[in-house]
Amino acid sequence: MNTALVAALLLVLLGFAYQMGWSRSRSLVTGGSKLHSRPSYHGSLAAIWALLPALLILGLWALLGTTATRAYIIAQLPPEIASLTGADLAGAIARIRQIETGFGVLGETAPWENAAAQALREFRLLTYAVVLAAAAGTGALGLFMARRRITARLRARNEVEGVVRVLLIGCSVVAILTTVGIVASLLSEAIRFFTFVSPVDFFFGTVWNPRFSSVGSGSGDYGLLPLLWGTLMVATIAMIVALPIGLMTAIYLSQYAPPKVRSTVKPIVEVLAGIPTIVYGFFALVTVGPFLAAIGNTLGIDIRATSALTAGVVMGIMIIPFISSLSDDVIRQVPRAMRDGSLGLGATQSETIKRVILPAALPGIVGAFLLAVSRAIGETMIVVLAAGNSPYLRLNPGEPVSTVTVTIVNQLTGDTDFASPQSLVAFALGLTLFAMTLVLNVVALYIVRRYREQYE
Amino acid sequence: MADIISRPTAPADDADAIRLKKIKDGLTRRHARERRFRAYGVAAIVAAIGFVVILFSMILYKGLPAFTQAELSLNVYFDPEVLSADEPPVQGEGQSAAEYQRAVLGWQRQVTMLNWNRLIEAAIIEAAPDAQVDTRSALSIVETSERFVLRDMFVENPGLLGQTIPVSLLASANADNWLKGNIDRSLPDSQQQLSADARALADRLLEEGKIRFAFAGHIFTNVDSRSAPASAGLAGAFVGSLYMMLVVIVLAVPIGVMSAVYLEEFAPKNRLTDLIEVNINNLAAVPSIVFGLLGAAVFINYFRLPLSALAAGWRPGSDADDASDDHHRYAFGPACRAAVVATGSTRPRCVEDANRVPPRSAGHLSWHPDGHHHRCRAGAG
Repeated sequence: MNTALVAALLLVLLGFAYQMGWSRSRSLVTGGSKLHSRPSYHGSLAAIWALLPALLILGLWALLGTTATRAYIIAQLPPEIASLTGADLAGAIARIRQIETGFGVLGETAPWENAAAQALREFRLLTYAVVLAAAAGTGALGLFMARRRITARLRARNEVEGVVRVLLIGCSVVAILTTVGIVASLLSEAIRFFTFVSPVDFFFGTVWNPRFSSVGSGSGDYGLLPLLWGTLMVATIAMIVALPIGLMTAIYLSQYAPPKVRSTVKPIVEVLAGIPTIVYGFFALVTVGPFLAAIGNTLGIDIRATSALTAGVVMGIMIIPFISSLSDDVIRQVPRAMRDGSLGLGATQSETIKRVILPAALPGIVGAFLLAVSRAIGETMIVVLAAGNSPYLRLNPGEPVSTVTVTIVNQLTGDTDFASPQSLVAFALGLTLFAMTLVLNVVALYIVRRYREQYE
Repeated sequence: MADIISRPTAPADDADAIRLKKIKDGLTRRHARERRFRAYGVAAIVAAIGFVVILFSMILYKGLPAFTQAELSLNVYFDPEVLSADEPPVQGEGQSAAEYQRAVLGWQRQVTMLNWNRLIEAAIIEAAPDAQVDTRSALSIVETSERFVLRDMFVENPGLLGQTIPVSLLASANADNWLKGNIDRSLPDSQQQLSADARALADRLLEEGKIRFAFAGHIFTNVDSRSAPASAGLAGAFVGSLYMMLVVIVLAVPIGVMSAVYLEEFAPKNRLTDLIEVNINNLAAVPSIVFGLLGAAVFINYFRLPLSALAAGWRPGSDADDASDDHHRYAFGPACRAAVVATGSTRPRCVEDANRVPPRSAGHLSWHPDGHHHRCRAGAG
């Protein structure tokens, strides 16, 4: 469908309706009556009345048009072709579409194909004209109705605001729909996966070997535990790096640093949060990995360049600003009176921090910590590049590991049959990941919220 | 300061002295602890800033050399003996446009089949007359696609035949890496990509100034290439990122801002708005890869596209850009999918951020840097 023409139609309708509503209500004023709403609201209301039905019809066609066209093509096919299923039918339909657009197809075209393509061309033209006319017609009808409704007493403003409010609510509800979409898509695909592999084997299996070569036969081991182990190991290393540095940075900046130092250091540290994670992955791969391997060499420990340690350290660096700015917020919310009281009793600053401020801020810090853990668990690009992708249960952090996120990427990229367990397992893994982060987030948000209420 | 008043002289009372000493020792310890604690704080900040510095310097150090590439300045003689093609066709009287077009294409095909490498080889030998190199070694220091640069020059201006023209050609990726010192020079011949002759030739040309490192503008205009890595560029990926940013802006800005406006200004405190807020907070913390799975599932199950044909997902949008070849389109597919993903994740974050600032106008302001930041991330990812 010609988008420019449709857009032009809508714009003309919009402009004309607005102008009409505006001028008609103005003429009422000159007629001597007092309007309830200003003319611009009358204009907007007329525009809404004209646009909504037209948009509705265009939207309906966008929704149903593909299906209707497909059904029409199938109706044009000879019965022996139309009774085909799956890829054969799709292939036949695709050929006819291709002929219809005027581009060539492979091989000779059969007469029935040409006839179907010709019919399709006419069908398209006809439906296009009908839909456009229907949209324009309903628009005009709406306009006419709106025009008839315009009186001095019409509460145009209230009605326009009602429509705007519905629009705003719609935008807010998108958040809920997204969540529903995630859960529904993950669940349905994961359930399909569990028809191939039993949940017990998946959640408690210790071997990960999906065997790409045997696509379709469904054999292979899908044990989650090695991946979960890798995820937890990398996240733990990341937190070991990030928590002390982030927390001490927050404490120093909020309690000791003069305002000048604070206002320079804080943005510099927060630069770390704005770097794309793929750049961190690159950094891990070309700098940190070889560096750690060299250190291991001099110490006589075997550390691989791509290992849990490499990925964890770099992920820790990435998370530092996350922890430091969240803890900083929390620490600053501790009432000043508590701090002053402690200092007044003769405690040193560090004693005040350790015995008074930190215990008071603890729930908030725990919340920040949990949010950071959920970030670390869901982080993808760093581990894809730097963790080495080797899904075995190993204790040594110097060895390569694989994580849940890396495996999702591996299973879904490349040319695999989407209905095979090799691909579907990604959704089961995604569901696990989603559940883990959801629990962490909910707990963290709950703690933080409780904490805020405590001091407000 | 505790040290100055330690060791009290002549205690009047033993018990007092002991108590005083205890307090003073305690003070010393406490002050030491205070200093240690402060030092930890300073160390943490130094570490954090150190990471920033190391990160940026390493990225610049590793990344900047990629923007310059070795280029050979050669005098190419368009040898009539090698370039034995017909005269370029001229549109004759009564010749239709289609016939003329066919003749031009035939001529171009003929020109493409000429041995352009012989011109390059001759130019290299002219640049280093006494070097004893065979054809293979000589050509291995020039990028394989550069012969088409000469061809294009000739097609554009057939009058070049018989002339000698100074041309700069890209060095091959192997030669480029060798000259930049990315390859260990002590490796034996069997492990080197270039022959000993070619390496010596490249070094010599660099010394004589006939190879120099120039800014590689083509990385921004060329698409990627497997057969000629030195001439590969980012254009396809770059356009993909731009498209993705565009989609994200178009979808996320209105929905995010409107949602924030509603929640801040209009929403009553009830179960629904509570649910929305909790959802937004959660979505902001859901890993991006889960959004990726959502995108994949929606594309495959709702739009009925096989995963490998995700490229087709871009079709409706790329109609305006039909000139782009298949290669481009393939790059757009994943971009489009990622766009869906990025939209999903950016949206709630915008909303969340806008929510933090009560006044509407400030909501816009606070949203903007955040959205920008996420788009940048999305672009890189």
